[in-house]
Amino acid sequence: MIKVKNLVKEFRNDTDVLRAIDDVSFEVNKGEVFGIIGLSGAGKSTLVRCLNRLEEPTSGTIEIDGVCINDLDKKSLLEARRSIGMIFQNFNLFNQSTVYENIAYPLEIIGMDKKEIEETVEEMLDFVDLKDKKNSYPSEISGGQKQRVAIARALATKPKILLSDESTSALDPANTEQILNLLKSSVERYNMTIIMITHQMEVAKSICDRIAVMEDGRIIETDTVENIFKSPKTERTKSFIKSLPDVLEDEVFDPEDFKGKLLRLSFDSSTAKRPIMNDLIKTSNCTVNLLSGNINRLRNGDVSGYLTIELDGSPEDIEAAIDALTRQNVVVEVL
Amino acid sequence: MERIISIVLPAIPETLLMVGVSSLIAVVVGLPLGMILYTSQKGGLSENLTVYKILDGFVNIFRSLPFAVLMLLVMPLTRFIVGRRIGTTASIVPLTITAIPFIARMFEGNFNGLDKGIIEAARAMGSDTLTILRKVVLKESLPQIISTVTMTIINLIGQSAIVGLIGGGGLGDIAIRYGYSRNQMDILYAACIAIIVLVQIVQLVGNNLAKIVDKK
Repeated sequence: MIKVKNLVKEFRNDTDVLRAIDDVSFEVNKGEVFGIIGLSGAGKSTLVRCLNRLEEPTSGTIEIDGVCINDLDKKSLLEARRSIGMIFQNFNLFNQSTVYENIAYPLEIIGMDKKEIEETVEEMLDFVDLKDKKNSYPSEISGGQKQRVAIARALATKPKILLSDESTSALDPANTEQILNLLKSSVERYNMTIIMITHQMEVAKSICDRIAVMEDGRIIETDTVENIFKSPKTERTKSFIKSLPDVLEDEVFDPEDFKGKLLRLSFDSSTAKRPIMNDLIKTSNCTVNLLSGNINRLRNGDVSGYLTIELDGSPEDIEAAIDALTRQNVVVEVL
Repeated sequence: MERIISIVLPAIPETLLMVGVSSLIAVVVGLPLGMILYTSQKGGLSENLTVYKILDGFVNIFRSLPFAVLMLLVMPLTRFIVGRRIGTTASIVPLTITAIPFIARMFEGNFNGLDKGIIEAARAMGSDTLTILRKVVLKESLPQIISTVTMTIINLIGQSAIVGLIGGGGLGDIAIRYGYSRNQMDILYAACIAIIVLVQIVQLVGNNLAKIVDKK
């Protein structure tokens, strides 16, 4: 349905050329939710803006439903944009218009008559469950509600494609889930194809069929969600899967910087639930200093975690503490 | 007291006429001008740097002339349009000419202050430039537009007093003719108070209107 081939976007000023999109190709099938994940600055927003030519591509082709978007003249481009909905991180609602007027806007500009507009807006309000907010202004509703209005506005003209640019990034987890559910049901109800830009692996994982990982303007990996999680091919993808809290594990402590002994304790399902640190602090004569730690719940329900601690005290006391930990089935590694 | 009232009172409608007509023309001409500046600028909705540079230069030239100088400079034009160089009606010409570039530049700033994301959303929905200007830019910046018009009117009240220097009519005119030339300080004070009251009323109405209209 969407075919992007060798897309390049360069930004120029007097002295420099910045290649924001560097020879990107991908295809999205009808009814698919296609995720593009990457850090900020990876070029994903620019990429999605090229699809409806909010940014003019420097070279390459974009084909949507057999129509080459690059070749469209001004008027046809406006027509094409009307069949591509778009939602944003900051919602971008019209602040001086009511919820109703916001959703009615795309219908007004295609020249729909008043009665039909009213029916469509009511239908959309019902779909996003905001019937009671019809006459509110954006400043009077919450972030999650704003994004729902934005979705209603984007879907009012029944576009074939929805571009979502970090649409959940400004929302809390509960609202994020609500928006994702809404997007899922719009795929079913309106037979939409969604391109989902995000930097949150959680989001991509829960809604996308396939994911493209972007770095430095290039797509470095594209695959189904299952395959990406099972066998990530690049470091960047791995770091996305490990997700942010795990990054701590890479933190390296230099034992030279500490007075006491540095220990790395590893826990598994059997040990993670017991009050091991509590016991250690109560029974040992050493002072215990927690440096870093983490617990991961794996997909099969197992738990694995680690703690890096500093133990300070006489060598005998430290020896005794390590023995006590080992007896509790904790794997102790002296750093 | 009666003397003061009989002199100052007729000057108030003269000032209102000068300020009212010149503000009205300034808004009518300045709004599209501000929109063209906004639209044609680099990265604007329909970038056209030639148009922008010409308008921008024009605005800058007129904005850099002090009003008293501009007033003298446009006298031939005034005579051509109104048929005479001095008086209340004649004053409208220089007042309008000084207000147009000012208000256009202010409007341009109002539009540029809008959230770029909102404009982008309108573009993404397939709106053409005129629709965006009409239905989005104008509507979204209405509170700022009201504040700009308020400020322009207040500026014009001040400048309408300067045209008194060349016999322009209005409150400034009587302040100079009676207060300065004939040393009648009571008239000068009364004219001052009338000007201050006018400015306060305009400011108050403008502020409240902007607040009522703003839903953000």
